[in-house]
Amino acid sequence: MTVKYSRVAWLFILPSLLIFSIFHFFPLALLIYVSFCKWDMISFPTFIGLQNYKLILSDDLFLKSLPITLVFVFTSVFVSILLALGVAVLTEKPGSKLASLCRFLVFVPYVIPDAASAGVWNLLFFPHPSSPINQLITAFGLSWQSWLGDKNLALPTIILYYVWKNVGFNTLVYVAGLKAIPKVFYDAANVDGAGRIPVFRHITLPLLKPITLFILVTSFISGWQTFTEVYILTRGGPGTATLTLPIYIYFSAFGTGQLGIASVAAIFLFSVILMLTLIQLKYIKGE
Amino acid sequence: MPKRYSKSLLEAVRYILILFVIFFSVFPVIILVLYSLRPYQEIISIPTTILPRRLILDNYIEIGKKIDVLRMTLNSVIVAGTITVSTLFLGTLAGYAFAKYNFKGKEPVFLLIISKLMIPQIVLVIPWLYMIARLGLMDNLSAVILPNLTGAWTIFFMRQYISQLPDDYFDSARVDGASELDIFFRIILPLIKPAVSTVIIINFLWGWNEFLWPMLVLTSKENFLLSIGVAYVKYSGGVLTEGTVNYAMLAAISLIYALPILLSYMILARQFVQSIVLSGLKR
Amino acid sequence: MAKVPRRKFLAYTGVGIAVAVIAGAAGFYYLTQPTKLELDAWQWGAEYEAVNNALQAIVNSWNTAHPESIVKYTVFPELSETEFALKVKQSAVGGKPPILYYMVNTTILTELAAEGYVEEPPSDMLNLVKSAIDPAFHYMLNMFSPEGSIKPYAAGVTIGLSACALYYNKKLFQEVGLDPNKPPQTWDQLRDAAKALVKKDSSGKIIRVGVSVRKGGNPGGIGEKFVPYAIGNGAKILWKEGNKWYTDINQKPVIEAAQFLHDLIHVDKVDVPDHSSWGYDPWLNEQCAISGPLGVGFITNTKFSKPEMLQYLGVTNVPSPGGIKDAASFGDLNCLAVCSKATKEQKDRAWQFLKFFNQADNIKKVSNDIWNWTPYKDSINNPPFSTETAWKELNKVLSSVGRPHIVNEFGPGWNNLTAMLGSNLARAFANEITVKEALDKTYNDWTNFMQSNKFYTG
Repeated sequence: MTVKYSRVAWLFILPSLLIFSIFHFFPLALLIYVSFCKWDMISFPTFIGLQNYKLILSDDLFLKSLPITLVFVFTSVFVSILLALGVAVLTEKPGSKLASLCRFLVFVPYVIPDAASAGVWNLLFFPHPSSPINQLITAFGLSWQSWLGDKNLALPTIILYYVWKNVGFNTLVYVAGLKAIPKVFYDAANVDGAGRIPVFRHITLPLLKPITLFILVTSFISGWQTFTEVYILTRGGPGTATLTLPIYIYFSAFGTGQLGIASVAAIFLFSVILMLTLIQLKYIKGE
Repeated sequence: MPKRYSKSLLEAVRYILILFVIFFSVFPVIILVLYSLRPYQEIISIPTTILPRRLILDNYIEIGKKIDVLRMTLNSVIVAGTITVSTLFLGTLAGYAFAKYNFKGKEPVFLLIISKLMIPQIVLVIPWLYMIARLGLMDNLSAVILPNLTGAWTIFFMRQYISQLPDDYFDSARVDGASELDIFFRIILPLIKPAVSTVIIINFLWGWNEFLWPMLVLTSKENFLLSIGVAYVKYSGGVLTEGTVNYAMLAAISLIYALPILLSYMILARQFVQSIVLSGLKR
Repeated sequence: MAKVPRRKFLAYTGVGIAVAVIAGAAGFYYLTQPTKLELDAWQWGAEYEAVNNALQAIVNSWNTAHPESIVKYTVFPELSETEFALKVKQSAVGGKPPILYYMVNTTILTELAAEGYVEEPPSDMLNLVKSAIDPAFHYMLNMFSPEGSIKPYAAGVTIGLSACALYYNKKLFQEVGLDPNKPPQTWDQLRDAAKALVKKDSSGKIIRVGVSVRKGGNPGGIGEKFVPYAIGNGAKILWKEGNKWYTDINQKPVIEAAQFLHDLIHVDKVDVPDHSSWGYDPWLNEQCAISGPLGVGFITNTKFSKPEMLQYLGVTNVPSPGGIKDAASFGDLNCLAVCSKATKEQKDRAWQFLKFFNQADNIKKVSNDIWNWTPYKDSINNPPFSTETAWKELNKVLSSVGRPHIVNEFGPGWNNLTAMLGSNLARAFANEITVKEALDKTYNDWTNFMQSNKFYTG
């Protein structure tokens, strides 16, 4: 294309690029600088070298937040993807009104705004014998639990929340993926007389790989960033049972005013997300 | 014979599983609606039932006395609406540029823009608070809107969608002597209507969801958003000690907050879903 | 298609976009600016409803009489103490600080005062407040360092002033065979009473706690409610020597107090490990037999939410190993103060509002009318609720808790000290770390914080 066109293209891109630079790239740079400083957010930061980096390694709350976040992200993402695949396959009967209804309804949790769906979960699981879930399980003879108030059950309850909220979205992506598989493949398999399960394993699954990887990447990125819901559900949990990395960053910045440490943790979070994404993208490219 | 038997068994199992999925998805919402209409004392009495004994509107009335729900909703609409319109315009423009033009540095710049998606908001709010305070925009709705005037996801999505359109449209238009913006407004926009509705829905949803940043930067109750209202009611709606939550009121405010989006979903479901699905396919 | 010259079109559109964006931004900015003198009042935390309503009534009557300088108050119930303080400071940097604070928390006020965010009252205001409060309680107003390093009387108008106490259910005492007029005074007595009062269901789960330990919610609150137990055991928490401030937060008296509370939960099992047993509600619903330490709001809230429980409400000191003679308390000062970062015009108006607030019949609304105990002469000499047992008992508690035991040595970093203490104790009470580890961490974190905080060097 000629130079004239490229100038126009730049013009179209410029406003967005400007906004990103001011509100995303510049603050990131500022944050990186601040991680080498001591700061109270009122005056300008003063440089102190690597002190914050050393301090954070001896902060056991930070070290504790890492496995918690890992468990949360990996478990939620894998479970929700597996379930989504299952639901997509389950509802694959064209013309079935029930299947369409199922797809329509499974998406509802995703649509509910974050603060409200966290409120719903708080309502279902509140630490009292009369909460809805406790009523259900005591009807089956089990004893009632504190759920979000129990340090062993809080994280699983939050994982369950994440799965409930995101299965719908992943399901619909899989539905689209399944629809996109040309019937040719299935017809060929039928001619060969292959059974349903081998067909699924050797034809469907491999063809769904790109979509699966796509969902994986986007789910990981959003999973590592989850803040609002954990904040409303437990604010870090009974003690520190659900202290994910974003919550840790929030409380060390705004709760105890340790801004140097918070910046280091923030940069760490960003690097983790960046690395994970690059690794996954490389894996996709290699396919 | 055995094959037919196992087939109907399979069908039955499938049927049950689907019902279970539906239950799992919808049961929490039903509880939300039911419990928002029950008195708090009834909810926490021992023993109690899942089904309400009586329905009351008190929770909603109490919330109305406690916070200005109408004002908060208006603020949320203003914020989400402005973000949506602005992102639609600026994001589509940029997406179109990436889709149909070639220029030096195109891919690196695109990657740069996409990389913005990887910066979590919790990371950004710390410098944002400092910057916004210095700019004198504290407690101003524009402080919430400004960082979101455009969106990387929208740019990405629009690029995907527009790159599908055959080049012939543009070439012939250019031959006719139309300006670039002409092409954008008169050719592209009408062609990408489904994508436009997707972008509108997604961005409005994200704008409606904004919580962390507004909570940090807004300080007057007239500027609060409805999402902050949920947290507000959670931590104050009860019988006023730290830690005690009035779950009935929490249910009510959550429902108020979720209702506009839920209703839109009920009405626009088909469009919504189709677009999400389309966006999921492209890789 | 019309043949508009490309460059011109682009130029027009570009200018159009720019104008639209700038106009939109400016519009938003100016739309949200106040048009008259608005006195922004910020309240941290949700007070009990009776006080909130009384406050709002006074604000409404001022606003009606003075529509050109209205008071609008915003409550921030979802923020912790340190988050609130940071918001104040950030707003000051941005030129939009609150004009008035309504403090439901002494620790925040201490920090803001220490860092220069609270305006010293003019002398006529000071005299007005002093003349209304009973002299015997003037020392409680001096709740910030007696040396005056943090200015006393930084409070504008006192709305609530009391010390904290434990509240127990006399009916339940009788049921389990305890003497309702002899509440526990030592740690051993507290433990034994709680063991007798705790009630479990058939599966062994606690459905009524004996005594509730504060272990959740805002970290500052956890720290604050713990402090009387520590001071009753001989701790000093925070004090000044020469120019430096010291803490004994990781020394033996504090460790023992924390261990005592920890064991109540995990060894004696008279409290549940989560936060559900704390506050007014569990006590009112008889799911908790002994609650606290809390302030006079307990009595007020009982009166307004469940008056039938008032007859069973017993009040006593926070137990200490040495008994009542060593019992400690923390002062609860709720007041209206003025922000020093406001403009002169705003501040003058604010003092006018506070003088209006301090008139006798307004004070009555937030004090006597709603049982919100403040030692105003009027309410001391002629309390409307003097016949109520609970109020009499609280008065007894307050007078028995001697002057030296009220924590009035708040100093710089108090807000952060209690917040760090609270969050670490919560982890110890959840059995994540040991009590000693929690207190050592508090000491280290706080010392680090003080050293890197510009305001407190030297």
